[in-house]
Amino acid sequence: METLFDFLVKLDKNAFLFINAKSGTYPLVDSVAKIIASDYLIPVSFSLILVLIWFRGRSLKFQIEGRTAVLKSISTLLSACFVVFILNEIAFRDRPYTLPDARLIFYAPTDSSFPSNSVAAVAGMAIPIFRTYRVLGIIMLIGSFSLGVGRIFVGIHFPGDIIGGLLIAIVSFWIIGRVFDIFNKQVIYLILLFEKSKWLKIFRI
Amino acid sequence: MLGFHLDYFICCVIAVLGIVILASAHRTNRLRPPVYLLSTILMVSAAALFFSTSNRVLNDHEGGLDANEQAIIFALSGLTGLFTYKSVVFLRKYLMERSWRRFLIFLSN
Repeated sequence: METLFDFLVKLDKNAFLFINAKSGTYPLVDSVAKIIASDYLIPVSFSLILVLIWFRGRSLKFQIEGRTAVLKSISTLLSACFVVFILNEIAFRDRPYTLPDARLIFYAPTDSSFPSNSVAAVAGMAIPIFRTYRVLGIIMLIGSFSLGVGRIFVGIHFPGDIIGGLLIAIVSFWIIGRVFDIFNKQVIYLILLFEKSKWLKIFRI
Repeated sequence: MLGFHLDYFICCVIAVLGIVILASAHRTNRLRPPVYLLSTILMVSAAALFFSTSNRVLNDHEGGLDANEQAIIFALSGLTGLFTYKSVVFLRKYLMERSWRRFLIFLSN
């Protein structure tokens, strides 16, 4: 078992060094990678997609469908972040830029490398949307993948951290899905309350 | 520009305004190319403004935003964008009604 673990860690390091090898070579590629891997572009874009889904429903049926997906997305994001927080308290993995051959073109985070918090968060937002809206979901999953690859390229995550983040997002989505199945009526009631309440009219378009 | 937090807030307001315009047009079945263009320009310009004006690759210990700050500022900017949109729509309706009234008065005279 230990040999298999060592083999996976070695494979992870080699995959990281392969992806990270070209960073710092082409300034334009580096700039694009830094923007994609930043804490702002992908998370804010995904949040904007959630805002769009929340407001765009034409009929009550589509509003309930869209808003349930948005609530699931936010809940999955929060639960994924919570799982990452717990894992970070249990185990610590050094960032890949501490390797002798690694190249760092980003700021140097000091928290645990495994699992990737940012990928768990954005994949947690993307998966529930993918289940309801295929096109928007695919765009969001591509965004999550780009963020993951970008963060390996700039030197702050191993590929294993990204896969770990993705798995956490999937498990969180499964748990949140079960919770939403149990409280489905209450969720629909809250959405209807938002849509029909006279006092909440100011928050509607 | 004006400090990291304020820059983030302003750019988020501009981007939210773009997305609310798009959502509103979709909801009321008035999705036309100019609407797409306007909302795309607002969102792209917000991103361009944010990333081109200063170094945004900053750790939260060095002046960047942590996840909680990001979430709070985005929520505030979402509300600001929504209220800005509603104010503009209200103002437009009000002005149009007034000009129609003037036009009707002009015709009756």
